[in-house]
Amino acid sequence: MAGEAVGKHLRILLQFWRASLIQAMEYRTSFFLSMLANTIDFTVGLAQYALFFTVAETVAGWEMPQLLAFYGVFMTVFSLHFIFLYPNLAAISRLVNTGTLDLVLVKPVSAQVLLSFRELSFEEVGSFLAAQALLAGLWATGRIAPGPAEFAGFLLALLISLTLIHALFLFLLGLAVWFEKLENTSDLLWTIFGLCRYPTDVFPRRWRWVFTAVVPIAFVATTPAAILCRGPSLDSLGLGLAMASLFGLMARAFWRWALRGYTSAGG
Amino acid sequence: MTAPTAIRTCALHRDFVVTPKDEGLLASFRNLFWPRQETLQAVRGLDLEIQAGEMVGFLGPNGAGKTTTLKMLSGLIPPTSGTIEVAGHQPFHREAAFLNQISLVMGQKQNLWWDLPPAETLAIHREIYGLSAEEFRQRRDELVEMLEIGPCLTIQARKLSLGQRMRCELATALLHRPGILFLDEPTIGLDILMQKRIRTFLLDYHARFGTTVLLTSHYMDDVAALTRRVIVINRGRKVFDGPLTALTARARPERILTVTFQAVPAGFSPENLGRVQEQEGPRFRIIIARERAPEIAAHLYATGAVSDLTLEEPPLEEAMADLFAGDATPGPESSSTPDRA
Repeated sequence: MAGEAVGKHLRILLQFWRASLIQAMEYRTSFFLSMLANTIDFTVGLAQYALFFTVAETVAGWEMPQLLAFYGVFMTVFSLHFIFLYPNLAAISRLVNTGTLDLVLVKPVSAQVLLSFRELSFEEVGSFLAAQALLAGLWATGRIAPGPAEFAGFLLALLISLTLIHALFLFLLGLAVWFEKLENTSDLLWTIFGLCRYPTDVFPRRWRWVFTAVVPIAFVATTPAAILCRGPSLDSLGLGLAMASLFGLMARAFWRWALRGYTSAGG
Repeated sequence: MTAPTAIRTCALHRDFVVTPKDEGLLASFRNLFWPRQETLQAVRGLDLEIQAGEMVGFLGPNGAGKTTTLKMLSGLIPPTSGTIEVAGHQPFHREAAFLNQISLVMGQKQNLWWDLPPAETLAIHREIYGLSAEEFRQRRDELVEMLEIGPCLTIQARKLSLGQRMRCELATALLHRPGILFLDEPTIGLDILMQKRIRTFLLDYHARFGTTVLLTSHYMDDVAALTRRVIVINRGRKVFDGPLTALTARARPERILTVTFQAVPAGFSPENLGRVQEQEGPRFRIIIARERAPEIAAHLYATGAVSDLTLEEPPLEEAMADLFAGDATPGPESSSTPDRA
């Protein structure tokens, strides 16, 4: 039954994504220019990270190949968020303010799934591919050498990271529905990503604790990258799973509550 | 045998809490810290019962509570109190089995993907409603033919005219063949010809599939052409539920008599018949009491001088205006409850 529902939602999303791709290709110049701009942006970011090592051997315990791997992981999470979630967060205020959300809510599908993933943005595909190329290059040249355990741990950590990002996204989605006139909710996501841009080891000890157990941004990029470079840590993965479950459940409860308070525009 | 009940509400009530904004900088400052909240009673004790297959007009002035009611019936918002049953379900639970049976068309909101041809939106709806390839092809072709939208399917929605877009919206909304259709101002903004095409389609569709339809429209021609039964609400309360003809009879207990004489009979005094609305040579347009209409018509024919005589119902717009007359402030009632956020 659950498998059937997942299959149905996946088929619906594939139709939406197909439509998004067709839509993106309607504006060809913008499509290629934004891909190019983001690839350049990625390269500039990479150069900034490499520059640290002209004045230091390590950054908060991270050697150059490890920090570059961190950057690759961070950009993977960031670009996945940008491709799958960001355009939907940008769309929610418009849907609420125009009342078009009504027409989404009367469909026999999960509003949470539909509103989270129905639109794709292809602007950051360049960054995503560049991040994968960077990680593959580091691995191929032996600068990082993850074995099967590291790789499996990394994939689990990546799943935790994406769950946490989606939980935050869902919370913001709920806020947009609840307040109706709330715009620029994505600013908070940008702030969070700003904090995730460097390993949490660069922060003082008490802040590291806050970023692990209170606002768990350590699990967004630092933990997956650390596992990829240094091997899996059961403590980190266990705590990460607990935090992802907790935040996921809280965000879902808040979303459902916000939807109950939706009054719909006009009429 | 009577048809099963498709829609039933009992003592339906819906309030909204709003924070009115007073004029001026000081008032805005006060509102920022001590917002004054008011409770608007949008729908008050509404009882409805609509049988499966009925096509019912749902009328009322702006702010009467029509759209709020439609939103409760389609499960978008929960009622503050009272009960609702639509197709055997409580709408706000939004179960898939319920949502599969309804469709909501709002003239001012669109389902179509703006930058894509309607064919793409239809394909998305096929997946949403889990139609097989055969069902999809057959239903799409049927709707395309009935709505005459074949050439529109491959043109981006943003490039379609309003009328073409509305017809594509209807095709999208009806693809899953809903048992209950909520139509909120489906012809708004359309020219007269397009309004007529939409009405013809709706009549045809209803005759073919027996869909239960609840229609709100400010165009009385829509209501007159599509529905026999109308429910009228004002300030959230039901003020009329019955045949359209009875509504006109109740609101305007008069008929319009237009008589043209070959030569006006000597001693003819139109004032004795009723209120003269218009006179042009031998042609008189007179508002007469409904119950006197047969007697007056017979009397006029008896003069032997009548070349033409017609009796009309007063325009529905006027009947509606009369029904709401004396209710100078249409809209939901509010009770002010100063509050602090």
